[in-house]
Amino acid sequence: MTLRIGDIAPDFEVETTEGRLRFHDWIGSSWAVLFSHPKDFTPVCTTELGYMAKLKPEFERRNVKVIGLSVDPVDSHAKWAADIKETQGHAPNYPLIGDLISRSPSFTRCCRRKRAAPRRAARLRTIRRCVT
Amino acid sequence: MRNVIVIGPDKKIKLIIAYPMTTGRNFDEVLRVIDSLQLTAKHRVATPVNWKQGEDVIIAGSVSDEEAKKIYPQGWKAPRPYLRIVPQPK
Repeated sequence: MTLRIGDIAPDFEVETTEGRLRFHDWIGSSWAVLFSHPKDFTPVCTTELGYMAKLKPEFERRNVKVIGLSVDPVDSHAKWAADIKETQGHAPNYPLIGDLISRSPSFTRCCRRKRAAPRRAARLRTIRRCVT
Repeated sequence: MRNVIVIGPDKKIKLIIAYPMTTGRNFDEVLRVIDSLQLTAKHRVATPVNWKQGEDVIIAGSVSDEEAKKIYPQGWKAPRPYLRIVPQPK
């Protein structure tokens, strides 16, 4: 499944750095921005996540909730947040979804790294077999 | 991959932008697009190139000239019949 403009966004229940949430319930009557990054502790994303934290009031002013996503687990996101604060001046002040693979294959196909490591690819296949 | 997805209160996807690994995103552009998405969800208008909040907008093609006269009694600029420019609705 490829995501297209006009499609209903996939719904899923996930762990985030701000606790467990169900995506559509979390959006509620707001707008939402979901932005994915390939991996924690990578340089470009470090600058992006810091800047997004700085810009968050502008999203709030427009009634837009912000949420980040990568395949890494929540405890890894939390460790990375300290680096982001130190180097960019702003720690993420929005939830980061951890390890979405098992929850929403369609989002994962859209957002995961192009060439997953073989071990991760094998794990993905296993999880997909369980989910679909 | 590095993607940005904007979702509306109706849970529908409104925007998808994909970036390669080596190019960081421009989140100010995402805010600009959200201003356009929210405006055009509320009013039957479209936003032109590089539009920013407060600038003139284009009357949507789905609005006939007869309808447009009711909505914009003060009229509009039309350098071409298909390009009808009005101030941003409040």
